Amino acid sequence: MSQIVIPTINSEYRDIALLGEILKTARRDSREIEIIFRGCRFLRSQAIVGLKAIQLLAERRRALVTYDTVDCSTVVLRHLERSGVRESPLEQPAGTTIPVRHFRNLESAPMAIYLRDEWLGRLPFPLDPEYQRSITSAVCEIFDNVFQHSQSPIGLVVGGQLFPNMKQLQLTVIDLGIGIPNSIRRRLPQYGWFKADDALKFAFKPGYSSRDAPRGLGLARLRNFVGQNNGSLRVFSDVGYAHLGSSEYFGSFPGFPGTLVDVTIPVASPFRRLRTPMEVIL
Amino acid sequence: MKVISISDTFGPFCIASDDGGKLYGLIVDAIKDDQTVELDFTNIEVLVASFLNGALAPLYRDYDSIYLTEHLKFAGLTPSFIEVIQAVVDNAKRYYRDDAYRKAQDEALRLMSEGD
Repeated sequence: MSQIVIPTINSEYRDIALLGEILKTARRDSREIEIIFRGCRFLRSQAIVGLKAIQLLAERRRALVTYDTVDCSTVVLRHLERSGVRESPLEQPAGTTIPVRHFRNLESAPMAIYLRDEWLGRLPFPLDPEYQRSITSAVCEIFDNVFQHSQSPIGLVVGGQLFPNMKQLQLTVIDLGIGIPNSIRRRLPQYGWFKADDALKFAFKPGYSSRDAPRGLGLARLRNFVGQNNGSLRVFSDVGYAHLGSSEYFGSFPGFPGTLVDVTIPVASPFRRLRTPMEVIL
Repeated sequence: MKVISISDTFGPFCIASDDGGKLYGLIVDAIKDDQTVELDFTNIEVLVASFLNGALAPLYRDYDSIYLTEHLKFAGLTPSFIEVIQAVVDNAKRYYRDDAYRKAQDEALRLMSEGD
């Protein structure tokens, strides 16, 4: 049996590094996984989504997952229940937790409806329809990339949080695949010497893809969207890290067994309409 | 003119490149016979680059810009959809027509590897 200790996990760089370590432990072959919440006062949605990924890994190899919640705050228990990661005997009010969902394959309609109804739908006011189309399309680029490149054994897990005081919506997507740097190195052996941060820069450049070109616009579009709309995007993939938004940083990371993408968007500031031409020039 | 309603054919969420490939087939079936095709994006809620790459990019392998301008029309586009379609079209044009673009990509990759 393997034991996994879950402490308080925030959303900072070091917290995601800790979550990466926890997920690596969960990947080790074991017939039984005991998840022990020790001194766990709260968990951010990145950790909640990570816990769902552990459940899915265990299900895949028919391992048993048990929870020791003796030393776990009621805030965390409520968060786990509201997200759907832990079963609740009572129906829970939604609160600010976005339900966690799992997609094994690229399922266009369920994914888009999840973003529209369960993520953006959590807002207490209607969004500008064009902003809604822009957000859902940009985020669906992440989903598409996971299924094209990651080789994740569990597909993807997604969840998030509404921050009403900060007027922000956050979304976390986790896959347990080979990671963006390895995906690029494997598909383009001529760039096998790429460091992880080089590979992430490559992945976010428009027109660059490890697949047959012309492709490679999806992540660049997501990068543009968050940059133009005061959002932020963090990517933790294998040993690479990228932070994109009003400023950009690419660097190294202790390690994540797959990829975690974190998108935060403002939802109260006026939608910045793009200066686009009135028609497509072929 | 042949009108293809994207939402009637693929639903309102256009994500998968396989669906884009099907749309490419529908477009080619019409324009190879010198017919004009209008792609109607009315009621589309999600439009992803992969879908468009599958649908539009190979057209630039098969036809030139002048032929496509005469035979391919768009309707029901929103500003964000125009932006992504334009990006896909520009990328495909450069890829299939511009050797210098491909060389520039290689140079950018070399510089990136040197920490630029």
